[in-house]
Amino acid sequence: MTEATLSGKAPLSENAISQSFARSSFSQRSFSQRHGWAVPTLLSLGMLLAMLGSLCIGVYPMTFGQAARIVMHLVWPSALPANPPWTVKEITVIQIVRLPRVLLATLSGLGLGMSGAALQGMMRNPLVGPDVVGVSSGAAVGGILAMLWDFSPAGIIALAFCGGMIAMALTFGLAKLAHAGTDSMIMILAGIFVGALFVAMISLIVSKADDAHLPRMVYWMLGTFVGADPKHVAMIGIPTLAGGAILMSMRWRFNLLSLGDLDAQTLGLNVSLLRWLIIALVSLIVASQVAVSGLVGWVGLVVPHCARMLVGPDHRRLLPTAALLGAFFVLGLDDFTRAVIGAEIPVGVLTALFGTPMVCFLLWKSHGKGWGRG
Amino acid sequence: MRRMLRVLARESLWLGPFLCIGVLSLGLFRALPHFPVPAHIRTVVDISGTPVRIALPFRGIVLAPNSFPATYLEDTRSPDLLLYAGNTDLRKWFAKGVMSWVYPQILSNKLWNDKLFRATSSPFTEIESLIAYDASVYAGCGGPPDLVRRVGLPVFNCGGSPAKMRRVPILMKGVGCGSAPNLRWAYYPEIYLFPTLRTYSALIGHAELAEPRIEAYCQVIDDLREELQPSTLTYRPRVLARAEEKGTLARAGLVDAEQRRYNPNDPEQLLAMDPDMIFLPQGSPREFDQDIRWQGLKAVRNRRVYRRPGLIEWWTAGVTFKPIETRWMAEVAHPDRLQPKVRQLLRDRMFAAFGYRLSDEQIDLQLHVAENSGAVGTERFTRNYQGAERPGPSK
Repeated sequence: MTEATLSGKAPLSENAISQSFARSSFSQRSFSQRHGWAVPTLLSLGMLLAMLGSLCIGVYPMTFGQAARIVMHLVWPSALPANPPWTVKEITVIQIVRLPRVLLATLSGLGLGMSGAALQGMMRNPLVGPDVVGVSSGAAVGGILAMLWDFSPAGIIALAFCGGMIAMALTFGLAKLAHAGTDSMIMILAGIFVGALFVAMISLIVSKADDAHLPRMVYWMLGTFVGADPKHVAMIGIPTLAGGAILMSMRWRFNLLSLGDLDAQTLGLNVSLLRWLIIALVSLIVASQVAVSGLVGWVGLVVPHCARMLVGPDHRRLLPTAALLGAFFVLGLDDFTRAVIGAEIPVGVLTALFGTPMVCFLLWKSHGKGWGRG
Repeated sequence: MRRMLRVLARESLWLGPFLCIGVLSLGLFRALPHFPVPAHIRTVVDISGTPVRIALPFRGIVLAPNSFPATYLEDTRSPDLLLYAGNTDLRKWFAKGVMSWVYPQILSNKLWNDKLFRATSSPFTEIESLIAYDASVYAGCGGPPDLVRRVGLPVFNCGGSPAKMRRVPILMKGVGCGSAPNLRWAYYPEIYLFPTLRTYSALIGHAELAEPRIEAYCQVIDDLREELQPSTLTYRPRVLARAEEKGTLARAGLVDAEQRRYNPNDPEQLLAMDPDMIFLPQGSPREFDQDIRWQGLKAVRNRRVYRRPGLIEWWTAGVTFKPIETRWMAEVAHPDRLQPKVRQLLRDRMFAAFGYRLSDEQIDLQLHVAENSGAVGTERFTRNYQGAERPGPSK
């Protein structure tokens, strides 16, 4: 997507936008601005180490070095050595069991964190997230219908995407009908109404499901990474990485959106087109996550707040940080269930259990500042 | 220039994690590792007709979570070959059944582990648990994952659908015990019991042990058929016996009252069905009688609600006990035609199959004598029952 297509006027350079943004309310050089770039850098390295560390968690004993050697072999385009320094059991555990699950958890968190930050930036509202505006519920309806009709993996994503898009369109349409535009309270209310409608639809479908589909549906709705395999990783990986790359490449435009629609338009941005593009990308990312691992709530709401505390409100840093923190959060919870609890507790349950106190803490710390009308 | 490079590095920082995840994901699509074929092997065919290569010397059997240790023990009578039996939930069920009396050593903690096999139906997490053991064979009765087999692990399928089992006609030999079997669906319980017994016997290297036990099974069924003469029955009570095979009910001179889409949570459906008899798989029949909702049911008014005999594990009565359970149903429904033989049969079959003498208390427990006291026709199952019941119409 080029700037010319997004704007009707002569495009502004990214540098000029950054300078304009820097002169705005965020011009004060705080800690987050001085060290802001160090945070995503450290998070990137930390995420890689966390992924490798997660590969060592499980029933079968595995050292960090051994896991790293096997991963190197898997990603390096070379033939299997004649006498590899690992056993067949070890490479089986990594390639078939743990790596798909670790990747699935990482991609889910990455996508949800990024989507939450993108939605909050687009709507200039810290209270929105994929589950608040109804996109998760909409995608879940699509996914559950696809499951009921035994669709292929691509069909599940397609239907989940349609569900997510419809939910977002309904939320926006409802807010527009109330002549509220992107007013935070009206938007949230609209999201709650739309979400409730889709949740009722989910309940209806589940209540009518036969015994063959019901257990899978119920477990899926709680959010789980059980059964991760390469196909699932491809299902979530392609939309999340491709959609995420587009979101990342235009993240500086979020800074313009946060100045307000009028100012953004004055600066040469086609606000409506950009907004719909973001909605489509977020729906795609959330749909792929929901289609593969079910409803995983709270990540898209909580993680962007934590990211904002670390790197400030500049979306050039906020978006990557939220993505990486989301990956950390979900991967950490999945590791927690496997290593500490030692049982398959659905990750959707854990994100809610950990996410709710975190939101309460953030609300208390901020004394409610910025949580009111946008 | 330096500043430009720095800006470029900052702006493309997000690309690093994205690329790493992408490259790692590609690693998943490399050729799967494959376990080497052991030098000495023995090949057996499992229930789906797949040959399984078992490493020799035999190192033992690991039962996957969806397998049933009591069925394994009943069919193989080889507790010493087990390396792993299941999780602690399964152990609770196992401890309630007959097999825990015969083989109390199986209750040892080392055979049951919650951390190893978690409560999940995922084949992928199971693989890790499976290969943590160095077993000669991994048995799974809920259809072990193809993936485990693809990596070269010796996976033995001990359960499956009739459609799959039809691929191996030799395993289905004798199903119906003389009656024409319908192999397309589970009309008779033997459709599961015989193939499992035959394949398990082959697995432990004693295939010849299966046929005498199948003959003994059919002998009890034949005796019942001869004594009951189901074709001459003028009255067949309609019974609600959840999940019971229709063939078993027909052998016992009963008719299944359950509708095709029966919902046990809807009390109106049971009231509309109004069966003549009810066989409860669990719970107290007397409590059922006292439930105000069921006071109008014919079965309750006539005191014909029973707790079915104890099963070896969950719903399965096994190849030793299923014919006895069938006889128990027939004796309850048609006492005028059948001599009371259930207690003696249970004692004899238990001794013949396992060399184990059941005490009177154990038989009472298995037949739920105390719980069924008060229901019509259950006196004959008590230990002090003497003479034959007075013949009379079974209506």
